Amino acid sequence: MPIRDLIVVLAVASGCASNPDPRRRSIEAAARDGHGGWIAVQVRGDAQFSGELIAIDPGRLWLLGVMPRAQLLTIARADVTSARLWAWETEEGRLVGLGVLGTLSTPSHGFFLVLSAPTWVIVTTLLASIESRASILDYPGDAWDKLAIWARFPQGMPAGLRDGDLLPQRRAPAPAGPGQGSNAGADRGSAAGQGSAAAPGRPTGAGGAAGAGSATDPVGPPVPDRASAADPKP
Amino acid sequence: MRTSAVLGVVLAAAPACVHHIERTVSPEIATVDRKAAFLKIHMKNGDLYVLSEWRADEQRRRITGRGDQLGADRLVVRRGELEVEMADVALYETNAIVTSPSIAAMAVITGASVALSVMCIASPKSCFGSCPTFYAPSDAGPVLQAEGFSDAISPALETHDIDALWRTHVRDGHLTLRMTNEAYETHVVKRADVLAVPRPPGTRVLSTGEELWLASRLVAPERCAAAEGDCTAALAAVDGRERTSLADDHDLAARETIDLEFPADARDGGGRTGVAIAARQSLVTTFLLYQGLADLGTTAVEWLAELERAGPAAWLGGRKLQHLLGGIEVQIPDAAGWRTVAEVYETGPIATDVHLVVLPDGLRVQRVRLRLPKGGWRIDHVARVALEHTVTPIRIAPRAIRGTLGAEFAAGRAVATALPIVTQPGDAYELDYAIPVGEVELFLDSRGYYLEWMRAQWLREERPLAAATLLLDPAQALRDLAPAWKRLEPSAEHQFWSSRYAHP
Repeated sequence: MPIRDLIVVLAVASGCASNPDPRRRSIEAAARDGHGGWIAVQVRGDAQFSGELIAIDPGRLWLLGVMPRAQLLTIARADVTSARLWAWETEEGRLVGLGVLGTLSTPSHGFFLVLSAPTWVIVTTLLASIESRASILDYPGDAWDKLAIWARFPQGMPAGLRDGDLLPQRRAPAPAGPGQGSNAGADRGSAAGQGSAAAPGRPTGAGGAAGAGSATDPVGPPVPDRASAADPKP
Repeated sequence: MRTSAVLGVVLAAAPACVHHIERTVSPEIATVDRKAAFLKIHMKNGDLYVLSEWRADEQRRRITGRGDQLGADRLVVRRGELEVEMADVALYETNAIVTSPSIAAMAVITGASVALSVMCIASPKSCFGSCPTFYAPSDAGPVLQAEGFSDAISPALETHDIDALWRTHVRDGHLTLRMTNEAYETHVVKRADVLAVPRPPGTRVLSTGEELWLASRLVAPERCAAAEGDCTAALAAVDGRERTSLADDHDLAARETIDLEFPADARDGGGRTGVAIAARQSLVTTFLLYQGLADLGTTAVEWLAELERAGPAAWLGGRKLQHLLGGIEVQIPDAAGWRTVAEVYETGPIATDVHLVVLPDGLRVQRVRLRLPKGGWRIDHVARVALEHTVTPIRIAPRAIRGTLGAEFAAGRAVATALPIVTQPGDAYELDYAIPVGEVELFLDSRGYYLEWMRAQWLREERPLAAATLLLDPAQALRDLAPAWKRLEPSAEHQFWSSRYAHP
């Protein structure tokens, strides 16, 4: 078995935690792009939901599921039994690569190869396992406010925002500044409360190419206190 | 070479760090980390500003900067110089991309790994060289007890070598020796016979290299004095506790003496006396061999060919160098001081061999002096023995041969099942022998030669004049090389064993 395969097998066997986030955001993107981390939520009744963490407030949390289509879900915090958040895509693969190279260099250690090669494999395996968990926050071990800072809206769900506003909006190419930021949002087509160009004025607030989900969406199982898409506001 | 390349890649890859994000949020601009690479401003309406150059005007309650305004969908709404009203801000966020603590742990192991590699690469002349190594059973498990024909570094120098298997006691008639190639060498083993000599209880059989003697009354010295002081305990038995010293600072041929005093010889009548010496060389000869090959560089092959043709320069130079390096001279007192009666010499720094020096007929000795090159030998045991008579051994060839090939050089080769056996690095063979039942003394009689592999580092060190000096004026060469050896000497033993290609 090639050494790299061996290390990967050991890493998996030792409990490396793989990130299910399909977006595969780099660390640089996770720091800058303004999207939320990926969260998997277990609720009472063993139902599980996952998606981008949108916001957490004292009573609820919102996540934007993507499978099979975009769907904003609102979940009462009281119903959550556990949750795991991946804040960014970890880089344990680099450690594994370095470990493979280090292990391949051990023939130059002569007799000490018998010690150095296993040391490389073991240390790499352990560190890769640890590293794969570096971006994970687990509720209830970690408090909600710790998870909240990795949400798209760490301040909580903005007032007046509609489901469709969370999905990519069709708008004119971004103009160059100068411009002034305010809550008015009057200078763009999809500001809060205005609907998106793709689904203008849908009474449920669903918008965007994929359409946001509603409480009656068959994809989403019934969740206590899940807010209707027609009333996504907190 | 390949491992060096891998090492280089490891060093190059090390800076490709693993990162984490440290994120901080604050509702107040006053508490924001102003050293952060960029500031993210979360607006109450869900917009986000990402500003890389920003300044806060507390008087006007505005923040200005260059960057992007993102909508709630996180697509860019506006880009360039932007201004934000503090009153509309929900949170300020900063992110720092930092190196993972895992890298510190990786750095430690990488550093240690690189140090090990560099140690061997930088000092290849103290790396492992062995000729065939033979492991034999002992009361303490398998022990490296013999290294075959260490002098035979070319076909022209093919020779045989008798090594005592001093610590092996076979009583059930079966012996298995393990023969290995643990260095970058090609070994050609033409013979690997065991010599067995039945012996009465209380006796041992000793080899002069050409003759075997039955010996009794083995007596260790009751006093041993050398430059460092008392060395009696170190020489008391073949137990791995060795007496050694450091080489001279200015001349590798400089000599030292060890004075031994034995109890009075209580034998009546005639009978010859001998001195048994269990010893092995230090790494000076290994250093000189590799230094010589490095100095010869690309011309090494021509010099070895000269040896094949019995060219006088190579032959005489080699012999003179060996003479200068010297063996262990056994001296006895006479009217003029001390007289050398014999010399023990066997190349090889790995396995301790037991040698017999037969003293002149009728001589009884209490005082013996050993004269040897400083730092050149490691002596495990010395004993005065009473010699009974020469003995003829039973020669036993291996009855079965089993082998495994080193993985790196196995392509296109097959395991040998009979002698001669040609081995490459990593090969290992088990040789089975049927030994006469009863108390027997065992020796290994090996014959063959080996080829030292040139190291790439050596080729880069080619110094034709130094090579010529080593062969034409070895006395000067041993003075010239003393400083280089003294720099290596403190760590040479460690480097030698750690650079072994393979291990049993």
